[in-house]
Amino acid sequence: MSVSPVLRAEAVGTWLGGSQILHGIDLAVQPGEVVALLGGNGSGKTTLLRTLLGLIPHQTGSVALFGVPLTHFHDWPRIGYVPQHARLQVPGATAREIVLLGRLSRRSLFRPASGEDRRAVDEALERVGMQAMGSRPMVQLSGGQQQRVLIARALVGRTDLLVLDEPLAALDLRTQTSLARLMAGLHEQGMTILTVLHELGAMEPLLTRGVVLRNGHIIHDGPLSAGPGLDDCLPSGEHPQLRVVGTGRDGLLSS
Amino acid sequence: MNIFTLDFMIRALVAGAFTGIMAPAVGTYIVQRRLGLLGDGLGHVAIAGVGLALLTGSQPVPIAIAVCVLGAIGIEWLRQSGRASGDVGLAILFYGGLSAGVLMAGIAGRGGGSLSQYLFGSLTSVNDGDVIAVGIVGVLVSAVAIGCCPQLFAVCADEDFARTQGLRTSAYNMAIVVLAAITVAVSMRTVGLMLVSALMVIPVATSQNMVSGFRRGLLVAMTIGLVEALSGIIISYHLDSASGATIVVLAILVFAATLPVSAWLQHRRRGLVEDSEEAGLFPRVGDHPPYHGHQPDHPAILHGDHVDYLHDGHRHAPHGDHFDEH
Repeated sequence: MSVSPVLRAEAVGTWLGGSQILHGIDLAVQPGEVVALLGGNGSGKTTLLRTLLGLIPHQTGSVALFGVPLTHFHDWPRIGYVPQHARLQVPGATAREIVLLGRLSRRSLFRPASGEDRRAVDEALERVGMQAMGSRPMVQLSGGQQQRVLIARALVGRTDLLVLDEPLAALDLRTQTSLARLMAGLHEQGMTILTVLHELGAMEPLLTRGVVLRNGHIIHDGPLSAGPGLDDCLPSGEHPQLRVVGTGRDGLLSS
Repeated sequence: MNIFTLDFMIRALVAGAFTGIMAPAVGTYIVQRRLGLLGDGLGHVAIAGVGLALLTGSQPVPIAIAVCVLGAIGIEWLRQSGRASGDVGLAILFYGGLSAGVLMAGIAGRGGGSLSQYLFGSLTSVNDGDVIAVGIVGVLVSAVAIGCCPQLFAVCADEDFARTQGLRTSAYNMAIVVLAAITVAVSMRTVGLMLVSALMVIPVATSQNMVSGFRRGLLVAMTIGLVEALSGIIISYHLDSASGATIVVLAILVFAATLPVSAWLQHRRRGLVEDSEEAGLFPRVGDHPPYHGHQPDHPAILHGDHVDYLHDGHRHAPHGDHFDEH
């Protein structure tokens, strides 16, 4: 392939609390792709996402972002990370303050926000349709609006890769659809997207590729409409810890 | 008689003012990290420092600062390395420091009486050296709390995201607890080790009742702390009461008085959110999960042939696998 991948993992193994969570993960994401990490609870999809960003150390293998090994990677404005919105702890903070956090990688200590920072925040809020809500405290926003603010925060750098952790979790269908539309727009503008999904939901039409994990192994990596082979690798009833993800499997099978 | 002509009152007011400013400054981050009781634990550790100073015959304030900072580094290291939960770590810090301090004070031949001026403060007996120490630490802590607000806020609010911004979050987390330790130890001559934690938490909670925005909340909390410390000292002079306790009781009364303000502001803001959504700025978005049953905290209302559930000021009703907004 002529273009170097945005993200490449080779033979990555991650241990947490003495047990191995990820086994020999090989994954490459090319520019312009929309890749979903799928799998049941405990399959390791969120651990993989956090490993790829260096939030969890990996013990074997290697990870590179934009061709640079993770340990030497400093070009963080190119990465926009969107954690699960339910885990945010910000009583009182306004949407604008949350988005401004996305400029931290280019701000030094004891330096107040510049006019450029503030303009970037305005632009990012506008891109997600939240320009009228900047001064609202986060606690007063609905789940979908909070998710939009977190996406704005991830866009406020000069982001090339958007990394999302279950962006549609705990949101109703209408909100899921409008967020998926937002991400479709970003993709059209050239954004590469890697997202953990518990179920395909409204994101399905957008995905160029699905990566299915089971017990820390990648068991499928390819188009979601891969045909008969795909059914065999999907989470099945004989794995008790995967049984709860019936919605995810149904979503895949209906594709 | 004018209290501002009394030297000891001037010293008390200046030292109290610095404490009133810096305690809520660092307290804003402590509260954000949900470590509201950390200050109390650090106060117990500082007692070990006071005991050590009494035992060795040295100055209590520098020794207490050193011991308190070491304790804070230890507890944060335990937390970051996952060796002890925050809870257990704090408890060990609490009782280890308290018992060691009382033990050493006893060996030095000084009982609980000599400790009590550090436990509850003794503003009217602060000397010039105390005022200078509180002043230097107060300026330093406030400058870091305001100047590094974006970085410290990021680490408190969303540590994972802060790391994807290239921040060394463990260093910032350590900085927060070290600032708290210095603040607690240096405040032992003003409001006292047992009460300084109250000034780190209550003005912050009061501020959050009144304003929104993290940075604005920080600045308002520092202002509230300053006004409460000065007012408390003046009131305590007229009532002839303990100044530290008077400041804290005043802070609690002010907090209680702002509760109705908080309720009114929330009511008003909620109204604004509803309006803008209805004006069609956004597709209406709800924060309820797609498949939930009846939640007992959402009152049910019979509506024709179905049941609506009250939710954030509007009604919704189950329809197949989702909820309709009514």
